[in-house]
Amino acid sequence: MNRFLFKLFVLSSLFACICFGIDQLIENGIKTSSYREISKWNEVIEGGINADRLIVGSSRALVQFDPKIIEEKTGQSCYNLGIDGSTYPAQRKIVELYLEKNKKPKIIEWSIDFTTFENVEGIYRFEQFIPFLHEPKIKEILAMNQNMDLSYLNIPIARFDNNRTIKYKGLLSKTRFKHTYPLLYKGYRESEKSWNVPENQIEKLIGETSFEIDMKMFDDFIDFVTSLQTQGIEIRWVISPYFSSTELLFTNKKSIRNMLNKHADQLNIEFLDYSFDKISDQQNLFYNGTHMNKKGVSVFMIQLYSFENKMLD
Amino acid sequence: MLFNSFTFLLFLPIVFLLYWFVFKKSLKLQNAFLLLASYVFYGWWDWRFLGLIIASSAVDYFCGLKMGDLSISSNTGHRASDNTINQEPTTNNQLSWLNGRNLYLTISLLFNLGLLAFFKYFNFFIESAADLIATIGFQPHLSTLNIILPVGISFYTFQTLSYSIDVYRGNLKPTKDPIAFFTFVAFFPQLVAGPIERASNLLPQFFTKRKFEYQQGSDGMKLILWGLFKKMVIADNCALVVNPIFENYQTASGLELIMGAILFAFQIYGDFSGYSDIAIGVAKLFGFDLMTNFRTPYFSRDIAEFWRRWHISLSTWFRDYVYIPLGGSRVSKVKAIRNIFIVFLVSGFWHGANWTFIAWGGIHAALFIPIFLVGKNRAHLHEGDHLLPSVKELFQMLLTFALVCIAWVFFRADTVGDAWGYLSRVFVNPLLPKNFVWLGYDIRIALILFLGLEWVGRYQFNWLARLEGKWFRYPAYITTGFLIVFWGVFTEVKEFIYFQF
Repeated sequence: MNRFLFKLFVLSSLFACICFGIDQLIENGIKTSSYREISKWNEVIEGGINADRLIVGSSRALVQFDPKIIEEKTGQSCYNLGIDGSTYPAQRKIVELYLEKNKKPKIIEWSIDFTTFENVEGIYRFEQFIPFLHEPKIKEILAMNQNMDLSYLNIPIARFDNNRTIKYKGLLSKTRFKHTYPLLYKGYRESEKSWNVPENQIEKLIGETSFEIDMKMFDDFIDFVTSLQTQGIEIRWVISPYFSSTELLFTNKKSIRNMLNKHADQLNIEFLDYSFDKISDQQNLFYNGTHMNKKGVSVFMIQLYSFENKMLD
Repeated sequence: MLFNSFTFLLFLPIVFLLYWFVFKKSLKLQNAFLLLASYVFYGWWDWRFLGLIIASSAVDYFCGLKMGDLSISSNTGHRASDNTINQEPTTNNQLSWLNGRNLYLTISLLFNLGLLAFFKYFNFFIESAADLIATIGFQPHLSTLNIILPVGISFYTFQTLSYSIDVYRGNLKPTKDPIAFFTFVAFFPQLVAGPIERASNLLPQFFTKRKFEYQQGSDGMKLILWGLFKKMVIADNCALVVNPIFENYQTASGLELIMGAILFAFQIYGDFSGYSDIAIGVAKLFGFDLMTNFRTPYFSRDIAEFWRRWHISLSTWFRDYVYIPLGGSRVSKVKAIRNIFIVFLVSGFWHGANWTFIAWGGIHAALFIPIFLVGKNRAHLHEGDHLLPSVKELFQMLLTFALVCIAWVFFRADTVGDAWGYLSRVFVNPLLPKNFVWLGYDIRIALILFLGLEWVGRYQFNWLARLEGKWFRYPAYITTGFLIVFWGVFTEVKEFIYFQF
């Protein structure tokens, strides 16, 4: 028995050391890579962003609000906190984390989608948060994954399981085999992709969609926004453009707009709805039905912030 | 509790250390502790269903004793000793209706099969009856019940039934030690998904003084390691591709569907044989030897050979307790075919209350019978001992594997209609779509590695246990462990497929 236990102990220890070592290599590799929005989480956690304007939202915030143009147009510093594939609960956690570590912004522009208050299972691409598990807010985001057994987040290597390729990316990030992702500028990811799907096929591809609003989630959003206002932060809600053929397929958009309008009035929040703007008719400004490309973003930014300047005048 | 869970990672060493260090001095204490551990293991899933295991054990313990008493008092003269198995019941056994032993066997059968019928098949019978009545024009209002299927019920009821039948037949002495018997029924390594042990193999081990053997413990660890690789690397990664294909087969291309069926074959093999390996390995850590449940079935050269290598504990159970009592093959051809059909259909139905499983059993019967009729069902009793298969053997293996894959579609599909739809769509739009999610390159390598190691180790119970030289052995163990954490699926904990049976 002693021989068995001794050998088991030695082999297990050796195995654990190898796993810990490789786990650290992966973690460091990912942290210094351009994978997804990793650089954003690094910057937020390190602190010192000091932006006057903070853009919050999903991928539609991430790729449709260019801080460079915003800064030019408004003269205020800006940072884009958009999280790809996120809905309100994760967005709130990231805002809280940002406020913990960085200077309070003057304005938060919340990019709202018709899906923002939908109850979705899991966190899209959550593996990018795993190197930051030491942050309680990040842990809370990961805990939103209903299908996930969180105990595995403590096991070296296995904790990156959701997306196995991230392990390779972490290991190879310092080599010439590393995979390069587009770099973020102040949290913004630009896309020069184009979209050539014939309009008559869009309905077939997407189909009619109705969004189920989780009212409990929406109430929490209103409470959170109110608490931000009491901290002296100005809030603005923006629905950025959808491509018109896509927007037409959203069946209950009116009721969502009405709900947002009503609460915006009550809370004295500026609510700008560009979901069906003239930009929406130009397919060359989009890279899919819900996201604009770089060209579309510059048109939208100019329109949005010229409007703001006009309002100020 | 799942073998591939964090909880089990803590449970196993605690139970192991207490078993060998605290309870080592007394066999009875060791058995009692194993019983407690087994109930904790099972109760971790749902403690309410422990009552069923206890009831099933109590009924069979009591019936066994009664049959033993009646056997002695009636002095029928048959040999109720030494745990040997007689394949054919003796004349005296057949006279047992006279001395009342049949009553206790009937109680045992009714109770255990009744449990199964209620918990597993009640809704199926009701729904099938309703469908049948509807076909003749009536609209019956039969309500089903919201019944939870207790994990492992098909396994432990069959295990405990084997005890009652063996005692009834006089092949086994009934045990008077309730702790040993209850532990035999609930023995946690194989409680929820087998191997379905025979009382004649496992029960005597509870009466033998157990001493920790280095080799046995070491073999056990290697089996656990390889079992985890099969489950977490092969089966769970295949599942990530297979599940969406089966869920959306209506829109899948022919090649996707073929891929789905092939990968499901690997998924179910990795899943179930992985579980069996871990179960046998864990049992070894406690000084027990369980029966082999799989012997590289996908290298079979015909369906008959496949069934000698796939889920051996279940197929031999049906052979000994259903097929042979029905007359086996020593009857007329027509009756023998009937017996084969019965065994395969019942075997399919054992897996679940769904026509898909019955269809799966029926397909295997239909594939087996032609081989039986030409007298070739025992043609491949021995594996070839060569490094590579001949072209003929390779063709036979591929053909058998293809047939098995077709049958697996029925096993995996939700309904027979879905299975049929799946297979018929294979010939529609055969090209792979652009967005086909296929196994990553690394898992393809893992699959090839797995097949290669299975082939090389096909004569041995575990290739890891046969490695020579410490400079080769230890790196192999660590590499296997590393591949499990690197390639394995952890975050979406996957239950073992056979838990649902």
